[in-house]
Amino acid sequence: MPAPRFSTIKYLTAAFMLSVAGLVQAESINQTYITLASAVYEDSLIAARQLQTSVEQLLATPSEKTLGEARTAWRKARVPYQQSETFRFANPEIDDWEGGLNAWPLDEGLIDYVASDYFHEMGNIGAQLNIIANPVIHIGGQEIDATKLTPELIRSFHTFAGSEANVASGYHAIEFLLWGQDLNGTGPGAGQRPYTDYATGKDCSNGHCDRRRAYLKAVTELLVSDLEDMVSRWQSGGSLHKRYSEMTEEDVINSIIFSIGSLSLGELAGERMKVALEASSTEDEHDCFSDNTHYSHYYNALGMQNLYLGQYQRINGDRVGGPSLAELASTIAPKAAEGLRKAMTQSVAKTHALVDAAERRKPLMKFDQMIAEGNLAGRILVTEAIEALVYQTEALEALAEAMGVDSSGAAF
Amino acid sequence: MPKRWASTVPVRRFKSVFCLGLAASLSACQPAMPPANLGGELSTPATRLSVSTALSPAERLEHSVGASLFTKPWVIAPSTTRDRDGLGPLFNAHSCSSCHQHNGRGELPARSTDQIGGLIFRLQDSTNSQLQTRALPGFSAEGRVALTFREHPHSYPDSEQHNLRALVFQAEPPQPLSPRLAPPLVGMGLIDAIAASDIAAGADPLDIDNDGISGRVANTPDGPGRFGWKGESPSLEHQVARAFVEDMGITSHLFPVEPGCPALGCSAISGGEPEISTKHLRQVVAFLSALGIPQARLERQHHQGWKLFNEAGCAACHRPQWQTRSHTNSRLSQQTIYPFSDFLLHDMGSALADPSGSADAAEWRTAPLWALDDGPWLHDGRARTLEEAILWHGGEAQRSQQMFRAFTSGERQALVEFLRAL
Repeated sequence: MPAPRFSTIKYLTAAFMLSVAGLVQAESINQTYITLASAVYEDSLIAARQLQTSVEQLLATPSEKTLGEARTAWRKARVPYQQSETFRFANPEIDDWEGGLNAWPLDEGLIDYVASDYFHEMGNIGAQLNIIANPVIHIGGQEIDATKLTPELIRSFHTFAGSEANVASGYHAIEFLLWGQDLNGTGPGAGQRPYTDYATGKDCSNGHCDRRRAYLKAVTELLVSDLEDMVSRWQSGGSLHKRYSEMTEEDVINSIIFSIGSLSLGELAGERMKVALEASSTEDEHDCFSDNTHYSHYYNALGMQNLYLGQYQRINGDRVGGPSLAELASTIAPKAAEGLRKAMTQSVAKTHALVDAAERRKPLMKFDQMIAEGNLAGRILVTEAIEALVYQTEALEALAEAMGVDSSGAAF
Repeated sequence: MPKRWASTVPVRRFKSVFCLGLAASLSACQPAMPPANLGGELSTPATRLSVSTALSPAERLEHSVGASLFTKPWVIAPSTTRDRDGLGPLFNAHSCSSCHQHNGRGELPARSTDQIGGLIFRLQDSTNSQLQTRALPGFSAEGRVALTFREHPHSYPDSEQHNLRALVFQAEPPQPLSPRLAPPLVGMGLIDAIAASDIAAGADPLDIDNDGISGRVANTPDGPGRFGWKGESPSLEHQVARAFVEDMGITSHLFPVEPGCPALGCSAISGGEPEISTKHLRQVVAFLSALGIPQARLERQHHQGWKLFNEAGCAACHRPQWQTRSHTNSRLSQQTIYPFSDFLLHDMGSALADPSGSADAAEWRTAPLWALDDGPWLHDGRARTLEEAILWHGGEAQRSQQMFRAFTSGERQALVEFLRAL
């Protein structure tokens, strides 16, 4: 490392120059963490507001085109959000908050109509509620007035009766409202909800369009306000800004290692891929209505790499960043630092291979097709992504050990 | 904010203090303090109960299926989620983790069984079955239970006040019930790996050694029991299969018939024969056996509490140390572990007595003390504090309870702090 005085000057100069260019350059690992988290949640908010605009257009003039645009806006909104997940696991405050935004799998019968052969999580009393079709909901001798579908009412149904499958809000609830159920199993095709589900008057399909419109409007509002809340926590004076400003550098490094380890192994490799693969279960597919799962996995991997390298490319193309764990590690434990850098490049590449298969290589193969029993090529793709993430976790633990940091607890 | 990750907590180890020379000859030698690694090789600095980081990432990944079967909700059969269908027709919970949140201890539901919590109820009749508080559509739940609390004033001989909380249950339809709180799943595989003969060797049902402690082995139809509040299950696989069938209505090779069946007409909602395959059941068992045991945070300052723990005779039943038998899983094999239980049934007195199960009303299996969390404690979660839990002890533990009551306030605190550091 250069002498501290020079490094300070270098960073200060860089900060000045870059801020002139409208970019942010942090001066410490703490600041980098705050900078990246602020930027990725701000981007999530910006993209969610764009989704809200598209939803308003869909509701104003329901058509194939406006529904398609709303779906595109949803996909775009996932790009920064999936990169943000890497901040979640070391922060109980974010982890508790995120259940309202990104919980899955979702028992769609809670929200709207489902196919008659749809088997929901029974005993989960919420799964039969169909909030959209029922202005008054009877449950366990109680009567709940759901005449006005407000964000508050939707929030009150979230994880109703203690079941994690009662997901009434967040990205996946909106995804279900835009796409509908994917009834293709492990075959090709995503959900096929018609735009007329949002039509008014006699054009309305599947009934209760007014309430469906109100639900979609309210649940999108809720997403935006939840993200506003998280953005404010990372701004100066906010709880997480304060926490990460006051932490020792060592604690920030701990936090980075812990969250990358948890997302890498238990969540992404395990829960989101290995379990889906082993059970050939489309219920375990992350973005199951839209068939967007490949992107979700890829942006998760990219988010972890961002955090390690201390960099993030914003949705407008700007680059933000600063002193990183990678940089620091390369001075203390160069071999292990390089090992993790390579492992991360590999897991980004292997999750990107899922994107290539799903979006570019003909015939297109989505994640729900990849995990089908007997689809050898698809299962190899998923297995290679899992293996890359396991290898990445091993490299992370090797780095933690080389740096004398305790990385335990980063399991599931 | 509670710390849920351990990486920022430095590993603290206590140097064992051995009794030396004169002190040893004057009184019974004080055993060395337990080490930080209460769970042998599975010990971990993590405070949460998660798959031990003593396992390599690739090994940990192998447990993700077991973890998922434990955590994710089970659904009605038939369903697209083939591996997780077969819930009900009657059940108490739709996933293991809804009672054992984060693999830990259950919480009391706020007001009644309508809310999710970690409390189930056993019937006090000859069937010894479990009250089914939920049902699939088309079926009826067997009942619901409301709970309220009552405060019992209690003062120590030194007149310090420490009230006790008792739970009051109201069942619909009215019937006598025995509440049971979901225990934390600490070191289940290690307990499973203790030789049955070693547990039996500690039994003294007739109190021949005349120490006032007369532990006996729980006799169950399937062999000597060691899991469950009254030692109802002889093995971890049996315990897990029993929880699947009694709590969720999921059949297995060990329990092919679920509550209410076949009388209710269950074939239409069968999720297969059995509903959880033996392979998957064993994956859940393996997952639970792979959970790390949080390291004890014992320091020099805890020495007084450890001394008092021994002086009050707590260790007579809460036996600190065990050696596991040889096992195919190397991390369970030949491990020196510190669960703090003799895994025997003891008369705990009338205040805790509760008929149900193979044991007598007053008998309870000694609860392990490793990785004590934030409670609530005891079989029905009545104890908000460890002091309360200790004060409820009666029967064979009466003498120890009285010694605890007679301690100075500082001594009581020291004992509690020792337990909290485990």
